[in-house]
Amino acid sequence: MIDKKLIERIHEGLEGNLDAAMKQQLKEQLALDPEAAAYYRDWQKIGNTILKTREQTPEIQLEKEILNRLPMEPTASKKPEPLIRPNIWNMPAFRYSIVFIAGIFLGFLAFSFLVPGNRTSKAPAIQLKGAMYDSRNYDQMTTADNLVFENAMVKASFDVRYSKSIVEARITFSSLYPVQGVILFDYNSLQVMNVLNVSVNDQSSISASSNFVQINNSGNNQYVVQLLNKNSLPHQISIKIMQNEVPIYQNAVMVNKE
Amino acid sequence: MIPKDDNELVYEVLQGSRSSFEVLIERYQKKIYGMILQMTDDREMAKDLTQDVFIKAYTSLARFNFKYRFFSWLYRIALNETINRLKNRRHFISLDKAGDLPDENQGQNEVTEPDLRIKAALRDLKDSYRSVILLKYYFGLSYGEIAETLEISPARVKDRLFNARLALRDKLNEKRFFGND
Repeated sequence: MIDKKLIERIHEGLEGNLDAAMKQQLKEQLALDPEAAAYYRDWQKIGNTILKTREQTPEIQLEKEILNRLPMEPTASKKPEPLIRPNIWNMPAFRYSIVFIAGIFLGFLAFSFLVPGNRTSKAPAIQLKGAMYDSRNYDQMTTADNLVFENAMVKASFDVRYSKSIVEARITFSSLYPVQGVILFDYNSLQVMNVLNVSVNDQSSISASSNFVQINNSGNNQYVVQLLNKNSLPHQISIKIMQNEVPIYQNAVMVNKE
Repeated sequence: MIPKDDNELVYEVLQGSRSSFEVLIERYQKKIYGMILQMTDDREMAKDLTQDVFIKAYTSLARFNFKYRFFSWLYRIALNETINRLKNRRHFISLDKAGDLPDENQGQNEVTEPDLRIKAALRDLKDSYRSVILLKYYFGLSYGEIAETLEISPARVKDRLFNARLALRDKLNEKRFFGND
């Protein structure tokens, strides 16, 4: 049995793939191994015969016959794949989709920065008259003062803020028995725009006049008072808390501070 | 002018160019015909099969994978078509019958006794051995190209070729191919 590696070497030699040193080595191996030498001779003969047969392959001209038998289209089912696959970045659809997504993103970005903030634009006071003022800007207003009163019977807080066009007070009352809260101001400087019961029960109420706002409270309630800032001049707002017609707390808040 | 690459021609055919397919036919018809002739030893069948191979290639061209070489794909079609046809027709000519080949074949090809014995021995081999021997010795393909044509690994090609060579030598011994020297 001839070694498999030697057989490989024999074929490499027959195909002319060995250099001079390897050829010499093969020659020596064949001289020592008669079986391998016989294999070499046999394949030399086979190779020569095949080569001769290969060269004898007759010429043929079948183009016309084949072309006549061909269908009109190779296949209509599949588009040819391009020889060079285009880079995804160069594909128009990809680029347009990137621009589209970027446009939407920038749109949202611009909307979120410009529209809800609206920090610099102030509506003229005249436009606020008779309209329900949207108090989303409360957090951006200047704080005038935050008054807190607390005794055994009553707990109250007045958070007063102002802007150039509006004064807003957020009031929290907590009392077991009825108490009154009164907010007094100069009608030449301020004018009632809106009074709101944010969280109020049926035993409480809020009412307004030209120069004061009165709250009748019982229980835990919250109120919002919005006043039109007519001239943006410094002005004091008085705040009183009364129980059984007797003032139990009195203080003042300065708005439009210089 | 630099001749066009096979894959470039295939691409043009897929875009509707029949003239590009004609170039491919001219380039490979002799090789395909020669391979089929070696396997069938029948000129008419080889001609007929060569035409079928190109027509099949044309109609299946959309499935051609541009990663591979066109000729290995074409050889694969040719091998499969020929093996199928031979299986269907049982068109094997024994060595005894080889002497009865038509005169026109002998006249044109100068077919010698050793040629006939090799053809007969090849026909006696398993299809897988015969394919690998034909691709290696009649077409001079490398291990890699044979692997691509037969869709097997180059290591397997090496193994198969080793066994095919031994089998062919045994068959030729049986047919007294070497005894004439």
